[in-house]
Amino acid sequence: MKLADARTREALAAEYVVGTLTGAARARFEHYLADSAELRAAVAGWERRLDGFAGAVEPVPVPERLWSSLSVTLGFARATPGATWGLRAWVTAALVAGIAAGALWQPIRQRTMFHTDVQVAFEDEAHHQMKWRIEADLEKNKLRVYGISDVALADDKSYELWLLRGPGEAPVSLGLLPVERGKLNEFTASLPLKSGTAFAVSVEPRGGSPTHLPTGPVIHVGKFTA
Amino acid sequence: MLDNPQLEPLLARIALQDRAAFKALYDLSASHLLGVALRILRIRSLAEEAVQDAFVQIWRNAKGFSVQRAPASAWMNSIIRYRALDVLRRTGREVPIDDIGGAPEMAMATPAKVADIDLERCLAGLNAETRHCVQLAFVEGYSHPELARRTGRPLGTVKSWIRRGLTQLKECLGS
Repeated sequence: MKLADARTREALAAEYVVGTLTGAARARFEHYLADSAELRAAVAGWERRLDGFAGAVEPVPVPERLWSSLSVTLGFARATPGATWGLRAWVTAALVAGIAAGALWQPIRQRTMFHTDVQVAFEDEAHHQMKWRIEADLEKNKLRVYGISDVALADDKSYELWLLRGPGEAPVSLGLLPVERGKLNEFTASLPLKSGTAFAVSVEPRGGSPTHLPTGPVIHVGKFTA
Repeated sequence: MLDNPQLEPLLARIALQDRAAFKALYDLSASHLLGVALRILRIRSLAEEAVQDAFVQIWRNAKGFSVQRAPASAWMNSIIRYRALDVLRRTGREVPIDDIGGAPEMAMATPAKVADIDLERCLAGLNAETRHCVQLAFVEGYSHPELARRTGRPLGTVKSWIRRGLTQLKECLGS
């Protein structure tokens, strides 16, 4: 990365601000930023130039607990105990309620370089119809969820997919499930996936849980088995 | 829009560890920052996480803010965008792909309303596909591979569109 050249500086600063400079290159750039006033000025220039894009954003009301959490993080206030008492009970219940049978399906034609290590097909237990197939690429730590059939769900709800960890540990959200036949959602898991990893699906408000935890009923619990 | 003239004096007081000023800034701007984060992250819990990260950064780095270098809005919008991009890259994104084996989505969304007359004019001077890519990248956090997938163009093509589009914008904006 030749940074002495002004054009290169500008090009990189622009892509840094826009967000298309990613991964190792972004990390290296941040390193250079710390040491170079010229680079920082270039970045500030692009931030100023492009700021108008943020102008048309609609504000979204922020819940009270966000300030509470922030206060605790910054040491303005102490944490209130008992905030997550329900979590351990939820995770245990979800795991006990049943590891539903997952049928292995024939792998479908791969569209891109996604290597399928494990597959699970599962149904919406309330309606007893196969709804989704999950494929996991354990090396890339990615999941793909295919909608097998249309899913009836109220407009103000979403199905959210969670990775389950150990007892007492909070589940981690992966994202929302597709509700249409033929739709595909792809996620990168923030925890290592392996055979035997458990997952769960819950019904949440549209867009997903407003907390970091499941708030709605669990409709399915399953495991990845190779 | 973060154009409240109180933001700058509040940031000056936050630099001196004034907690009341910080709460006032939060009350004035948190809902806007959440809106920005949601356009990138789409998932509420992640967007709220990014907003929290942003305000932690604002508290800790307020002394680094200088009105000579940037207006408060650009400074704060940049912070929330970078935090949202960090959360996005860390947690991955749901990428809805419309049809297994079908054509990639080519429809272009209506251009974002831009609250800067010069930027709007210069964006209008870009080729439509280039402008669309710049908008998707900046506003929604699309990466190069996601842009390629969305537009159905090769990765090299979208990379050079972005690069050239940004160069053109800079020339047009003249600064």
